[in-house]
Amino acid sequence: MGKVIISGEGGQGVRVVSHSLATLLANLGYEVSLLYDYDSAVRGAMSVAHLVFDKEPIANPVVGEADILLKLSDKADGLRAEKTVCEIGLCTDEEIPFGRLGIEQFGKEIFGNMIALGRLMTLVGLEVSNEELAKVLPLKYREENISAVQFGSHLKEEDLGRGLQSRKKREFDFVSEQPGAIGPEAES
Amino acid sequence: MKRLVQGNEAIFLGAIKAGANFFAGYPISPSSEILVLAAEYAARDPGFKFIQSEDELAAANAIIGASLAGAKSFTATSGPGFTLMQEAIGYGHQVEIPTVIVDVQRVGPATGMPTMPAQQDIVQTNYGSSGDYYPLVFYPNSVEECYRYAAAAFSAAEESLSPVIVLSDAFVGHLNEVVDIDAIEVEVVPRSRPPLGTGRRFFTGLAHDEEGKPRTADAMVYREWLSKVKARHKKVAARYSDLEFKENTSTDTLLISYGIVSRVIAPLASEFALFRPIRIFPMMGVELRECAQGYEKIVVIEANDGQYACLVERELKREVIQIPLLGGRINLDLARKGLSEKLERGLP
Repeated sequence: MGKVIISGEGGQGVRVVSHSLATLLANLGYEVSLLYDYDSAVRGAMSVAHLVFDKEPIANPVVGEADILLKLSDKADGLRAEKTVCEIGLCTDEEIPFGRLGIEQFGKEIFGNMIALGRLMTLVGLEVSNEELAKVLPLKYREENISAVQFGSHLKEEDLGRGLQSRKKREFDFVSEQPGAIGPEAES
Repeated sequence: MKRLVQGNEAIFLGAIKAGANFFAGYPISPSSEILVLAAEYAARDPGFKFIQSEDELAAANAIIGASLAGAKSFTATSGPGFTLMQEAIGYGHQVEIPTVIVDVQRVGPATGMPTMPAQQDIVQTNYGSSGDYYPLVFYPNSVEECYRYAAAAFSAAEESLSPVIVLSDAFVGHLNEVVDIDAIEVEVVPRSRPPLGTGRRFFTGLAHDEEGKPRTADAMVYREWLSKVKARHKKVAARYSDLEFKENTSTDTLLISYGIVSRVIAPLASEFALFRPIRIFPMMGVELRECAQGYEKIVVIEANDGQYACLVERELKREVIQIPLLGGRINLDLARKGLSEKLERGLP
């Protein structure tokens, strides 16, 4: 079983990132639950996605402690995870300047969320083709989004300089029977 | 084909499977996806009619009118809108109108916390309108069940000739799960009464005889009518006595929960016995008593301040321990904390 929490604020793309990841996992045959916990303000308020995937039906879709927490803002309190990947300054585990990379690599800060999706995909051991990505990503800026996801999924510590401080390699408690689909975390 | 489906979408698709062809509603979080899907569907299928009404009072009365005219009708709302619909719901019971009302619950009272999940309309489904009536209420806890029990609600409405309620909550409504909708088999009961103009001619919220003519001072006619309605609802309810019971002989404690809370506490099955009503009303008294036998402690965990716990206590005639999960925070840690405080430390 894998448990992921994606935390941000309204307008950052928490729904797009989480739904894209959930759909990719579902397309690979996994049982997936994705649940949204969000404030009523459309922009700027807390937005959290709980994503669970497994080979067996999922009992509890509300994640307590996640395997991975992707933190794009600090609007939500009390989220716990074994590993946290965050925008610079929001955690002390693995900091990645998603927004800055979005601007530098693709011209807009918002592409940082697709870079984050790519990083998440690597952390859960998910490798998919551009064709598979094209099926799940938003139509608008699709090519740029695909490129940003692929950029994020191939991030290396040396690419980032400061900010990427993975504490340790972690593994999920299952290994995919489909090589290359889901499995142990890729080296970062 | 298996795909990721949202709870609210599954409710809409279940309604369509059941033959729904009229929706009226006023948008309100966290139910609005159902209204949006209905609007989109009406744009594609001219046989499906859609009204975005000026408020929830109009929506509830529109689905009653549409039902009288021969449609399988429904609406979707949340707590504050459900409150506004109560007058029409009572009217629907008096006039014996098959229709379906979906209530995706959020934290109240009033506007409350519009996107946060709660289970605070439990009592309102049963006692929100005036007079004596016997509503059938379903409360699914998964996307597949949202589809299944939305369809079942339409069948139960036709069989009971009454407004049937589908309860959900912000978490179940916005929960996405992988399901194969087309593979879910549901029984569809066809339209049961002739449309307006071809059958009964009179419809009134007054007490009435079998032709629908007012009988406002005849106690005998009223009692006979209420008795007949009560018996019909009891018979229909028995057809939908759906529940989930996970026995556990290693514990003296039975946990009762429903909706999203039942999903959240599912991992406790190894430590406690679990009971979940799906047709939550009328109360499943016999089944509840049977399942509760042999358990010294009965605990109701719910996202309100003891609404269902009080009804369980009345049904079992035993003291029930209440664990309320309030303010839109529903998770296993809080449930465990509540169990620890109430069972181990004996806190009130």
